[in-house]
Amino acid sequence: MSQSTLTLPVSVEQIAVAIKQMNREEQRRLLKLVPDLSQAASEPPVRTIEEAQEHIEQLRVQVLATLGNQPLSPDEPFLGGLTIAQYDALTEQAKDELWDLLAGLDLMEMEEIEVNANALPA
Amino acid sequence: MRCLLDKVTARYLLQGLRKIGEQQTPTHEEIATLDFFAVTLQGDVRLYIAPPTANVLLQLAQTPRYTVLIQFVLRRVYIARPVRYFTRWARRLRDLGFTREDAAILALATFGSDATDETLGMDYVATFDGPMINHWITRQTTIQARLTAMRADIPAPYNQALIPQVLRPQEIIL
Repeated sequence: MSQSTLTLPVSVEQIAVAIKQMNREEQRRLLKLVPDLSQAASEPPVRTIEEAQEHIEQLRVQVLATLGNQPLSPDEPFLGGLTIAQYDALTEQAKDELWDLLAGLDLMEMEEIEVNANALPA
Repeated sequence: MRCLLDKVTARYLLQGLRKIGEQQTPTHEEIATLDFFAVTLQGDVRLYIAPPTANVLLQLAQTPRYTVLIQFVLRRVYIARPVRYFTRWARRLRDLGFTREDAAILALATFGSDATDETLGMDYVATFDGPMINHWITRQTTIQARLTAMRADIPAPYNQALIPQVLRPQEIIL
């Protein structure tokens, strides 16, 4: 006998919006109704090292392709007129300052735009 | 699902991509960011960066060696722009003790949209900023109450805006 599949009329994201709008008591009731949620929440979400290495290997192939399969070298230019080696020698603070300088734009000073009236909230 | 990368996370992404293109070993944070980026490429996840971060990438794209690499990134990452009430919400967050820069990125995750103007806000902010994460969690009830109060005074669709989850990339469930 084939197993029937229930198709949700709304996305998981839409359900999440509804849950976020619940008060704490309603959320507790939801957990009682769907105890699997508690178990899922207690499971570590992190991906394994092997999975991460596999992902990075896939990215490496793609990145090298963007570089014409010619790896970068430390004496090649990078940001702010610095070579890769010079950039890597900077402290985190110095990198942060360099990025701010190169950004040339203050997010807080940007003009606000209007969104579509039917914009979908997160 | 929408996720905004803060400036440092976007920096780790770029540095990590550059290092694997250099046969160098990325740092722990860069690996976590690269892994997150790779996973998002396979799923229904949209990554966003703030316009100042996009400017840095676009500058690097002017160096021919990186042009295709940056195009590779920008085809997969959207630029979030501040929408109406962004500044007001950022001010509220500053009042709650967030730094100017943190308030700006957090406000963008609530009152930000992409070029289509058909989205409002983000589900997540991906960051390695421990103090910002802790402060966000500690003040969660107050932040939520402030947004609820503000939403009562503003028109649709802005009154549907929500606060994001603020997490390290490796903690975001995909």
